[in-house]
Parts: sequence; structure tokens; C-alpha cells
Amino acid sequence: MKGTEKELLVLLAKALEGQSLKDIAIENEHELWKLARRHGVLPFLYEMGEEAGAAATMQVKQFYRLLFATKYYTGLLEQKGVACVVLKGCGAACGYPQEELRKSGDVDILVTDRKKWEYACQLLEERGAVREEEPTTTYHVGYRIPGGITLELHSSFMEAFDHGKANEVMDSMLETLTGQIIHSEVAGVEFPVLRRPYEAISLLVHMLHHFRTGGFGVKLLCDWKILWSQNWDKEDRETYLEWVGRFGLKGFSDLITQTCCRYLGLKPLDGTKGDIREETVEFFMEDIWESGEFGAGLNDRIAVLQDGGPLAYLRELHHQMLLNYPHHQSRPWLWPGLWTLTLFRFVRNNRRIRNVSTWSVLKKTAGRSRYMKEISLFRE
Amino acid sequence: MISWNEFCVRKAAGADWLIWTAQPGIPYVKPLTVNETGAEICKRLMEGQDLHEIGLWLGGPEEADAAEVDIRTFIDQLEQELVQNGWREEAGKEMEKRGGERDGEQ
Repeated sequence: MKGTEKELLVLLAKALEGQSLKDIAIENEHELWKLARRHGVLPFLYEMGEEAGAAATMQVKQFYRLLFATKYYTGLLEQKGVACVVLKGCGAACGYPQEELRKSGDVDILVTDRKKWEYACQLLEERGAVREEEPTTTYHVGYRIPGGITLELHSSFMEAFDHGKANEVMDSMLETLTGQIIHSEVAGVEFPVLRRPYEAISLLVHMLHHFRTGGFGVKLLCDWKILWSQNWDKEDRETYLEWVGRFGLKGFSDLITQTCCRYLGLKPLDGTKGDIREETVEFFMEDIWESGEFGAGLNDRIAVLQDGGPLAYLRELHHQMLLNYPHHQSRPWLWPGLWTLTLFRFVRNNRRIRNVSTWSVLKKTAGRSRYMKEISLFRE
Repeated sequence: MISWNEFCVRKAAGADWLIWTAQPGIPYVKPLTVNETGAEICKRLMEGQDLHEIGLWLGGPEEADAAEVDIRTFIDQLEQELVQNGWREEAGKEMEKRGGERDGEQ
């Protein structure tokens, strides 16, 4: 790990504990700002220099704008009897010493009452939300709301996993979420969020999604540290461990917790740390540094496979095909053609959009997939 | 007039922000930044202190009257800035809505 990276982690660990960074001397200011910006954590360093201060002021302004947009639309949905919760954004900011400094760019709302999904869309559209033309995913619809803000209305946390059993668990969890809503408050503004174990699952699944595609940066690691630094009672912790076990994500959860313990000073709760090798934690941290916020850092990071074997590549191809052509899931006679089209699109996008060779992408994927065995993804 | 129970002061990124928390959210009424003394005055107003009490805190017994005038000027400036941000218009709508809701309940 480079000196600047170590330095940033030390500073973040202090900032997340609410300690002042005012009189701390830094070696290479320019490099530090660059790194912190790339990972979406520059506002936390606001006391350390003008550039960080300016980023923090902009972030605070953005935070309040998004907070009140969240208030407006969750208030509307709740008033009309549609159960919903805030995902990420101001929901994830709860618990930070200064909630306003947690960077966020849009509003994410999950409709937990799935029968009212269409009604929720209708309500938003009646109140100034304009549906974006292309639905980019199968699990949310994008809206443009007043103020030029993007609002994503979710029907699920993330897109379907490439694992049937995990998807069944996700479906059964989504069915129960309406009963798991509480209200949080920031700056005198209340909004609905999930109870802590479910909030943790939501964040974990979010991290997994990014980890398996473009990667994720230090910001999400900070979210994890903040979430697990709060007062968890035994019941909540057991609920979390039960769900995470059913998903087969205990290994991944342990890996993140252990990384937060080692680099951000998290004190683990009983049963949440596991037994991941130090070497794996180090490799994972390197992976996070490379990614930048949401994998923005490198073009040749596309996917992490469930395990390192050759079959995993075919499984990923099939999964991508199902995501690209969801309407043909029940027409297996079309699959060979769609596999070919998916592969063609992958190679073409690598060259035209990502400007990297497919070989480079596959090599990177193999590298990132090598520790997947240790975290036993999707195995109970 | 500002209803101080509809506002809060938050410290973030080294600045004090005066936020109208009772706003509907859309249209959005931006918060104002105030200096430390301004923030303290706002907090005291939110706690229900009157101008004379705050004047005493700010200027002491001898300068209390002059301080009270300054505080009044400060509040007028805040109101003006809030109006520029759309506060009065939205506050009016909000009050109308609440009145309507109360009538509906009756």
C-alpha cells in the first residue's frame, strides 16, 4: 500500500470517530486530495485545506437538497399508503459524526410494498418526476425530479444474483421488509429506513454488486464502519447473521468487517468478523484502492466470478445474457444465439467504450476471482 | 415572521447552517449560512428566549438595548434572504395545507 493510501486511512479512521483533523500535517497534499476525491471521501478532510473545504461545502449543499427531495417523495408515498424506505444516501449517512459530509449524488427509494409498485410510479409522475426513457436495470426505474436530481425508485436492492438460491432468499426477504421499517432523523427531517440488520444486508448486497462488477471504493467501507459502530442489540445481530448465512454471504461480510477492523479501526461485534486470512484482506484492500468510487478507476475491471474455475466464465456469460435479454428467459431455444450476441457485445464494448482488450479484462477478472473460494460466495 | 420552531441550526463542514426543516422539500428552500454569533442567536430564539434576554447575553446589562437593535436587524436580514430563497411563498402554502388538514379532521 502506498504512503498516501495509508495516510488517508488513518485520517478517515479519525474523522469517522468525530476527531478533528485540524492540526495534522500531511506529506503530499495534492496526491491526498486526488485520492480522497477519487474515492468520494474528500469532504471528510474539510479542516485540512482549501480544496477539501470547498468540496465539503458543496457536499453539504447537495446533502440538504437531496435530504429535502427525499422527505418530499417518501412523505408523498407514505401519505398515500405506499410503504417505502430510503436506500443509501441520507439513510447511510445516519450515524456519521457529520451526516452532511457523506457524499451522495441521487435519491434511492425502495418500495417495500411490491403490490403498490405501479401506484408508486404513478404518484411520483403526478408530482413532477419525469421517467427516464431507458430503464437501465431490472430493479429500478430512474426519474428526473425538480432541481435536476435523479431519483431511483427500486423494486429490489439490486439486480438478480447469478444464483437461484440467493435470489429465492432475496425474494423472501423483500416480502418481509414492510414490517422492518423505522424512521430516522437528520437535521430535523424524518424519513423511513430499514431496521439495522436489514440496512446492513442492503449495504452488503450493494457492495457485492459493485465488487462483482466495477469494484467499490473506500466510501462504502466507511459506511460499513459507521453502521457497525452503532449500538447493535443481540437480537439485531442474530437476525443479521441468520440472513447473511441464508444468502451465503457470511464470508463476504467477514471480509469487509475484517478490512474495516484492520484499516478503519472498527471494533467487531461477536460473530461478525470470521476468520479471513490477513493476505486476503490485504489483497481486497488493494482491490478497493484500484477501484475508486464505484469502480470508476479502471476500465479493465468488469466482473468477479463466483469461483476461479472455467465453468464460472460460462456461468457469468449466461447471467449477463439473462440480464441483457430478460424477456427471453423462458425461451431456451434462443439462448445459443443470445450467448453469442452477449459475447459479441462484451468484446465490442471492451474495445469501443472501455478502450481495453478483452484479454486484459479476463486477466483482471481471474486475479480478482482468486480469493472467491475463501469467502465461499453463496454457500450457506 | 419567522416561526423559530420550524428551523434548526446545524454545524457542518465548519459552517453553521440555518435550515427551514418544516419545508415541503419541493420546491426547495436553501439553507443559509450564519456566523457563530448568528447561530447562537438563532438557537436561543429556537429555545424561546425573547430579544431582550438575548440582548443581555450579547451586550451585557449596559449594552443590552443596542444589542437588541442589532439582533432585530440580523433577523430582518435573515428574513429577506429566506424570502429570496422562496421561504415565505412556500411557508404560506404549508400553512394553508395544514389549515386544510385541520378542517378535514374536524
